[in-house]
Amino acid sequence: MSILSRIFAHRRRKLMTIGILGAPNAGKTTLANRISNECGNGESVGIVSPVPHETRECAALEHCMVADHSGSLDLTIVDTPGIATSIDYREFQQHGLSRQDSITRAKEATRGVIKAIQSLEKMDAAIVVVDAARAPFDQINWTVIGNLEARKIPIIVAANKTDLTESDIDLVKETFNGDIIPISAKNGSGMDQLYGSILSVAGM
Amino acid sequence: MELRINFVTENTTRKMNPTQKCDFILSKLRSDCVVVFEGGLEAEEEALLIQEAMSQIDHQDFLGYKILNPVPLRGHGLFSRKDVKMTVLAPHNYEHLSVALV
Repeated sequence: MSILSRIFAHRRRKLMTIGILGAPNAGKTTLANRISNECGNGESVGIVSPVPHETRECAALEHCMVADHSGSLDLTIVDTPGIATSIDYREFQQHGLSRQDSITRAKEATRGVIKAIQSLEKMDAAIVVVDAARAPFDQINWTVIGNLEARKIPIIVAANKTDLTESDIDLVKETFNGDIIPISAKNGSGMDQLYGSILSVAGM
Repeated sequence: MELRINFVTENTTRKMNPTQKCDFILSKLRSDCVVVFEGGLEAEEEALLIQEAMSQIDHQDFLGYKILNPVPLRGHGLFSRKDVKMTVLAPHNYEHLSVALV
């Protein structure tokens, strides 16, 4: 827990569950781990890997404290598997996995995608993580945002990987009508703005 | 490769519930058809379709699908589903579904 969080922990306290959603390899688990380090107990939420669908189960981290002058927010962060419309085991083979391991991983990944979609029901708010180094007009982002809107779940769009030279924040802003928060979950830039946005969504 | 495109009018699916609609689409995709859906799919239908597709992936013949909602991007952004006039779905192995359709 940060010093700021400790100072304000005795003030008004609110509970909220916030999901981290998006396409595979957008940096969802890196962000969850970053929030755990900065606001939680520092426990690793999940393994980060360049192989897609590394996260195949929803993982919840409770009691991440985000605070400002008005009070503190007791967050449960839910890191979800990447959502996809197809799973091709041969993609895992390209990352060096054996055929059998790739098929096993693909089977787990399909179940993970279903769990990620089902998890929408339990969220008070969601952070949609977008890879700013890739074309942002991704059909998965479209589907995820459409479903969050339909459920009236507040959305924060985090344009991740701003540390990469190929990231294009202007394009992401254009795609999302400017309502984005540029972050690097890897090096921590933009996190204060993200926490501010979470507090705002929580009505604090 | 032979390409088959199935244009589905709104009338065709009007009386279908979301599950029936998903089953209808997946049966077309599983028989290697590209499906062009007039009127587009609702967000909840897309989510249901993903779940149904995931449960049907057999890691051999059916690996899922690709989806495209052609919308005018510039000045609209991802928060404008009302602009969707059609949804295009293609089997996963179909490589040419791209924003060129927009």
